[in-house]
This record gives sequence, structure tokens and C-alpha cells, in this order.
Amino acid sequence: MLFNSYPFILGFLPVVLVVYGALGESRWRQATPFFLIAASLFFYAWWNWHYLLLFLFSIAFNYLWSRLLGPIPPAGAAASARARRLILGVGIAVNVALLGYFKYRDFLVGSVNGALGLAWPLLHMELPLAISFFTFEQITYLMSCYRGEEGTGDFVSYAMFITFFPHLIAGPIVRYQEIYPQFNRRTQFRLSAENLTPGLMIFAIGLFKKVILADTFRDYVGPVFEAHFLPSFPDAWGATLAFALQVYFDFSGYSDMAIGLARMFGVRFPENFDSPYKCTNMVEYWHRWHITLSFFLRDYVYIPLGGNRRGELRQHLNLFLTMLVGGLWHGASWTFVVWGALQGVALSINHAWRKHSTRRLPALAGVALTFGVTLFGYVFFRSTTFTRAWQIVRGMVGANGFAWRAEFGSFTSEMYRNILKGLLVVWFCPNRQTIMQWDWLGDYVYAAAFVVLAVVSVLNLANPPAFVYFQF
Amino acid sequence: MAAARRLRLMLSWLVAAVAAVIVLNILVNPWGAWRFHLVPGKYRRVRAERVVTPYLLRTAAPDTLLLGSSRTLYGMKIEQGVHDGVENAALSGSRLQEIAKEVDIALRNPHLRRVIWGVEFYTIDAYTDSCSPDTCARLDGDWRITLTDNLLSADTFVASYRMIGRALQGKIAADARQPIPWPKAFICRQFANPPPPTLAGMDEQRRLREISQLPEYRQFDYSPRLFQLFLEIVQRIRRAHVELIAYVPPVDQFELEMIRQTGRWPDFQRWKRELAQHLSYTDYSGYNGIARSDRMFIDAWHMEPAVGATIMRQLLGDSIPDCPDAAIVAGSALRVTADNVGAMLALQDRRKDEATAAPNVYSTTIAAVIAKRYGHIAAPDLSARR
Repeated sequence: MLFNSYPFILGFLPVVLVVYGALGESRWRQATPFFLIAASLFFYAWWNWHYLLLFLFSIAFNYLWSRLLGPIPPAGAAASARARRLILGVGIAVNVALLGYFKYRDFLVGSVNGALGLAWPLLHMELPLAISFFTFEQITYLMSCYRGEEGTGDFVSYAMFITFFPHLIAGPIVRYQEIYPQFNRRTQFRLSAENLTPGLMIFAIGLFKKVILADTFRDYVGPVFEAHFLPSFPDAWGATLAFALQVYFDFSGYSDMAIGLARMFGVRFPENFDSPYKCTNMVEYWHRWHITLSFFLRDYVYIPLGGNRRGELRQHLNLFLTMLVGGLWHGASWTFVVWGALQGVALSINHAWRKHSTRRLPALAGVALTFGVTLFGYVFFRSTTFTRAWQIVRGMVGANGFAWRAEFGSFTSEMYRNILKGLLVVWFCPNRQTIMQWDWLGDYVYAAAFVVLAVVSVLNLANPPAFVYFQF
Repeated sequence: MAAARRLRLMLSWLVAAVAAVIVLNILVNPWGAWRFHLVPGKYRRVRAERVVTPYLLRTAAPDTLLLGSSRTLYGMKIEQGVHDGVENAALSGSRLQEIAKEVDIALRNPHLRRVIWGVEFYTIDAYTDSCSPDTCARLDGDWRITLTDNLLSADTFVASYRMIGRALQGKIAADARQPIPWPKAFICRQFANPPPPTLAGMDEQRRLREISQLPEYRQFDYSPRLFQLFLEIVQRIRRAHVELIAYVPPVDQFELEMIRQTGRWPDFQRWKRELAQHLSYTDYSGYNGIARSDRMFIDAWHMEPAVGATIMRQLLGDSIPDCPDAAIVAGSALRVTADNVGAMLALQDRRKDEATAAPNVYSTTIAAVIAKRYGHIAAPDLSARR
């Protein structure tokens, strides 16, 4: 079920909120977690119920496997520690294998076929919804159990943590330790105005970003990235800039909706975006773009690889490998691998610059350079083939001419007008976190702003397209 | 308490705003989804026919129904969708599956006496063997899309607002007040002063843009299954004792060249031959007087409303307007039956050969478009024939 759809907004959400609220005030309050789990599974199955069994298997396996880990052995029990490491390793391997089978099998087989001239069959399987997200979250849970962190062991809390519908489909990638304490607060399982009010507002802001902003830019991307003609300078730049705005408003809008929904139920999710296009360097960018993924990659890939503890050269290699994994996580395609590699190289250069140079770029130049590198990466991120990506890169440097494409007519000028407005928003407008801290907004202004955002978005919901990040 | 007060305000205002939108849309009923309406239907303007037509088909009770693609939609344009007992149910890029559903709904109307169908070559392309999900849902009467289209849509809200505005000002365009079939004097006035844009009146850049967007024929794949579906629709109309008047709409010479230069002229002719085995039709397509008169086209695809209006008069057996362009339209018509189809197709071939004997603006422009469209891919082998 999409957050930006009538069935969700007019059906699922109100019903779940009402039942949740009623249960919380009744003598059956203890049943609330079971209701939330059931509702979340229904939410998951709405899209494609065939993969519900896979999802349930994954939950059951990870929970049972986490029980095998047992408590942290006393110091000196080396054999027990080795056994736990082995169990953890197998658990992570099973998760990665499941992800690999469904998401990367065809990619690997296709690559081998291409390299060796073989014709091994491809499965062409539909990717189970949200598999990248729930796999990563369950790996974090196994790690929490391995480290003996508080609270691990309660199956209902665990199932609720994994299935909780606000983050189920496309994140943010939350950790058990962030969510578990919130499910166990005494005041939990009750609706409150203190949570519903900001939750609704955050959800409305996210919905507006997705429906009104992101979907506007989406219309400018496909005609260039999915076409066959050689894009000219304005076509190539326009489509790439439009994609940068689309993916930002789409994913940050989705994250806002997820954060707002969780807040309605009294759960606070970590922030996932913090005006990333305002960043002055790539290191900062990756601290403010898809923040929860960045932290996951840092904690579960970069640091285990050695981080910056084994010398500078190794640090750069680790960064590169980490971003390569990040690229592959986004999609099973060599274009995503190249995108990840570009991010790794950019981060390495940025770290090296910081270490070896005392010169700092002026803020404006830093923003321009960071945004430029991001745009260059997006060409590979959005293109489905290297041929197309290369044609667009050539278009961006003027190798395909500077003429506005006659067939597009006013489309190109309209695109640039909207891109300009979009850039003004991302560079100069306050972000959602800032807006939510404006205490000077009176009740009437607050309510009016909410109604305008919500009504305009809901009235434009017809034919909702999926979120960009649903494919991951 | 502050949060509770704020929440109460948010929810109550939200409910009030949504309710206001819904009530306005119900009362104004801009898409004609139900018979009740506060504002008369004559103030309606159909801009998104794929939304409006499925609803109007159920509530209007016309005696004449127009079917076809955007050529019929724009060429026999009815501003309000239905007027003077004639409903234009043509859809842009219509597919046969959609037309089949339209016909099923239309035949429930006891007042329906005739169907005028602008049959299209492209609808037999296997690529078009589908139905737009939303259009089909509307034609199937899916309650979910009916509710969201008519009650919870920004487009509907804006249309309601504008319809009220037109009604308050009593504003109906002069063209939209004309009786149908359109009067001869009106048609001649339109030929003399066609509403912009026209293909002939465009600057060179825009003209090239329009021509560059002509439909794809290179991958055309003749579908016997779709032709069978076409015949089933014809049978359904006949079984309901509704008169069926079929015509092949005019095609600009640029598009004819696109068909010919992508090697599809034999398919075009074959389709017409098979058509004639099952029903008589009037053929306005081909290398005729209309095709080479750019002033008779809105753009590279669509005939001018004056052309469509003349065609409708001719199809209904009414007299032709007394102006030279109307005479060209009428003179381009070929009445094709099972008995004369061979001769008519031979005539079409002869006209084609004459028109393409030497390079001209149509053939050279389309050759350039084809080369540009496929970029580094070699232009198709023009001698290819299937």
C-alpha cells in the first residue's frame, strides 16, 4: 500500500488509528501490539501477498537465530565466544543470501553470461517488497543480540519492530535499540494529541513534497533518460537536475510521511534527511542524505572493514568498498555500482583534502562542487545502461549540441522554470525540522497550513506513482 | 491542552474543507457522472475526455454517437461532450478494447439510432492490444475511481469552479452554440478563418516539432486478433439495430509518408481491403486533396473541425457547404464497398505513386525525421515489404 494513495489515507490509516486508540483505552490494551503487527502485515500483503510468507520466514528465522546466540559469555570463555561469532556469521550470511538470491541473482548470472558468453537462464523474479530494508534491519537486530544489548529477546517487541508499517517499506532504517524502548514506555499504546498533532503535520508536509513537488519533476526525467535521441546540453542538464529534485522530494517526502506516521503512534523515528543539497562537501552530504543508511553502512560495513584505524590508504579503500556496497544496495545493476564507486572516490578525495590541505573552499563553491558531483552521480543512478549514461554525460558537456529540442517545445522552458523554483526551495527554504520548531505559529496558522497541505495533496492523489525508493 | 486544541482545529477544518470540495463537486457535477446537476450541461467543457466520456456515456442519452480517436475527437469537436443529441465519445489514442466497452454502454441507451465511427489503422497494431487501466476502470463502472474522479480530485474541483463561473456569466463559446450537424455557413466561415493553430499557419520550428511527433509505424504488427475484436464490435452494433456509419479519417501527407517510408503502406492497404469485406465505409485517407492541404489540419495528426464538420454532413447525406475547401473534402471521399474495394485500392496506389514520383517537402521532411528519430540506428530499409 502506498502512503500517497486513497486506500491508505482514507481507509487503512484512519481505521488503524481508531482501533489503536480504542484498544489503548480499553481493557484489551495488551492486545494492541498484536493488532499493530496484524495491521502491518496486512499493509505489507496489500502490495503482493505472495511474499508475505517469505517475510514471515525471515522474521521467524532471525528471531530464533538470535535466541541461539545466547547471553554474552564470561571473559575467558573463548570457545563460547567463537561459537557466538559463528552463529552471528551464519545468521548474517543467511540474510545476505536471501537478499542476494532475490535481488542480485539475475544481475550476477547476467554479468557472468555477458563476460563468458554463456546463456545461463535468468529468473526475472519480482523483487520482494522492502527486502533490502527488512534485511538490513534484521542484521542490526542480530548484531544487537550479539552485543547483548538491552531488551533483545521479546518476540512481540521484535515482530512489532520489524513489521511496524511506517518504516516497513522504505525505511528509515531503524535499529531495535532506537525503537524498543519506545514500545515499552508505560504511556505507549495510547493516542495523544501531543503526538497526533505533529505527526499529522509532518505527514502532510511529506505528502505535499511527494505529490506536488516530486511528481512534477518526475515528468521531466523520463522523456530524456528513457529516450533514444542524443540529448543536447539543455536536455541533459534539465533532466539530470529534474531527477535530483525528484529523488530528493520523493525520498525526503516519503521519510517525512514515515516519521509523521510513527509519531502519530507515539514513536519517534530518527531523521533521514537534513537539507543535503545545502552541504558544502561530500562528507557532510552523506551525513545529511539518507542518514540512516549512511549510519548503517558506517557501523556495519566501514567500521568492520577497519574504518580509519589501519592507515590512510586502507581508509580510502574502506570508504570505496563501503560506497560500492551502498551502490549495490540501491540496485542490482552495474550503473549503481559505478554510482557507488563515484561516491566512494568523492568521499576519499574529500577526506584526503581535509587531511592534507588547510585551504577550505568558500561555502558557495563547496555547495556548487558537492551538488555538481551529486548530479554527475545521478546520471549513472538514473540511467538504465552505460550507453545512455554516456550519451547524457556527453550532452552535459555540450558534445551533442546546445539546441533546445524542437519536439519538446515549451516543455523545456517549463522544465527549467520549475527546476529553478525547486532549487530555490531546496537551497533557501527552511526544512521540515526547522518548520516544526517554529513556536511562533499560532494554532490558526498551524491548522490552516495543515489543511492547505493536506487538501491540495489529497486532491492531487489520482494515479499515485510508486516512490523511487520502493524498488530498493 | 494546547496540542488538543490545535488537533481539534486541524481535524475540524480538514473535514470542513474536504466536505466543501465534495459538496461542490456533487452539486456542479462537471463530468456529468450523475443526472442531477446544479449547473446546466451546456456550460461543461470537455478537456480530459478519457475522464469525462465514460461518465457521460452512462448519463447522456444521445441519438448519435461518435467513436474514434483524437482525429474524430478534435475534428468533430463538441465542446460540452454532448450537444443536440450527438455525443462525441472518441478518445485520444483509443484502443479497440476501450471502444468495445464504450459500445456496450452506449447500446444500453434506447434512444441511440446511429454510430459514426472514425476507424483507425493503428488500432489493429498488436502494440495497441490493451486498455488504459484508468479508462477501463471508468468504463467498467469501478466505484473507487468514480468517487475519486468526481469527488476528490483537484481537476474536478477546478472544473466545478470554472463551470459555475461560466454559468454565472452565461458564457458559451459561439462554436459551441451551433446546431449539429454544423450549418453550411458556419463551416465555410471556419474554413475561411480556422481557429489557431493550423499546420499551415505554424512557424517552421513548431511545424517540424509537430511532424517529429508523428506516431511510430516502424514496429507496426498487424493483429488478426484485434481485427476480430473490431468485427465483434461491428456485430454488436448491428445486432442492436443501430445504424453504423464508418469512415477512415483524413491523414496528412506527412503521416502518409511516415507510413510509406517505414514500409507500412501495404499493411495500410491490406487493412482497408479486409475492412471492406465486412462493412462499407467512406475513405478520406490517402494521397488526396485533403492530405496535401496543410490548412486543413490542426497539426500533423488532426483534421480541422471544418473538415470534420463537412465529413459529418457528407456521411449523413446532407448537402455540402458551398465553399472550395468543403468541395475538396467532399471530393476526396471514396465510397468503398466489398464490390469496388479492388478498384479503390488501385486508385489509392496510383495516387500514392504520382505523389511520390519526385521528392517533395513531405517525403524529404519525413526521411529526415526518421533518420533523426532513430539516431545512430540506420534508417529502415524503405524497400522492405511484407
